[in-house]
Amino acid sequence: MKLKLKSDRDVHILGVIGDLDAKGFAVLRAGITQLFKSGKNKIILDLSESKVLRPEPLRELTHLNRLARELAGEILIAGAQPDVAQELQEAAGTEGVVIVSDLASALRRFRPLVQAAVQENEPLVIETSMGAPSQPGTPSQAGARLQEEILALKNQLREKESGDLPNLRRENSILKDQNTQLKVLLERQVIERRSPPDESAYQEKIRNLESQVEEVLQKLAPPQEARKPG
Amino acid sequence: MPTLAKEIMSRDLLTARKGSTVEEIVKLFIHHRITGVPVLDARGKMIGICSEYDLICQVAESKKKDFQPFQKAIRFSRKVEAIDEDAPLSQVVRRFVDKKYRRLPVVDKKGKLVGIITRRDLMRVFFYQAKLG
Repeated sequence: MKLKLKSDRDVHILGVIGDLDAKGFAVLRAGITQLFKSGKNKIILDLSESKVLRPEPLRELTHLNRLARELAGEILIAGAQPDVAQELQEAAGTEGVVIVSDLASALRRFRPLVQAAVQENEPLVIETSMGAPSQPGTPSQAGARLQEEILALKNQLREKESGDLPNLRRENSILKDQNTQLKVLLERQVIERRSPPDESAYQEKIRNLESQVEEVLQKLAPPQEARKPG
Repeated sequence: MPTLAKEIMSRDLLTARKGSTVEEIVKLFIHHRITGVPVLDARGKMIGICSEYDLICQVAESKKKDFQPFQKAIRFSRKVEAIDEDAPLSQVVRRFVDKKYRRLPVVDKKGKLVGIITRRDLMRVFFYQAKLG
């Protein structure tokens, strides 16, 4: 098994190539630990080129993930085979490592605002080794990137507005109407309950209250034997 | 094996060019939540560092309360110390402690800017090295 390290800005992608068995997992854990010690805690494990032989060791990732989260980082698993993903999900539970379908989704999760995390034109995933630096970004590059993000967000907003929003507004107005009607009904019933509409209803209410008082008095009265003098 | 500067530095570099306007750099700082950037010349060589403090001074000096100062080229500090990418962590820490730097540019053997280390990067390294032994 081999590990391949790539980076996309502050996100580090550990590509696992080959069979991931218990021995392989030890190597993987060492790799993650090394990244942590270098202060890198936003990590994606790319399992698209690996075969997970036994998912159990990966449970340990939960502990490492908790460590990453302590300083606002996270470990994500991307590209796992569906059966492996399911097993991992079950093994890890809700506290565990998040499993996403592919690398692009994982990058989007780290940067929800950057829609174009893996784009054809802009190679955001730049392979770097420790000695080979990536090109520094310039304000113009950053500006262009920002423009793209804004454009993508605007498009999203437009889509939402044209699709869901009118329906949601309609539903909201219907629900508001229903709510108002129910409130009116409730108020009316409360008033009716407090003041019975006619004499017979009054009589009925008095009888009910009298029987309730009687019941309470009976409960409060001491037992017969206790009254008898010694 | 000691941790080296190149292992802890951030390679995701945001830089300014000589001649960048105050407006451009203010936007860069705010959008990316940073407080300073290295300034490069036309050939890509680092010639200084522009910080929030530099920008505040530049804008505050202007008596006109209009947008004009934002359209001027940035002024920046030209006294910049950088550290070699192969410098050990202990040396990096000493620089931060002795000189009270907020950020330290990292250069390769040819003096080319390859990364930057901030106080926050150091804190993260300290935290994880302490946790993981």
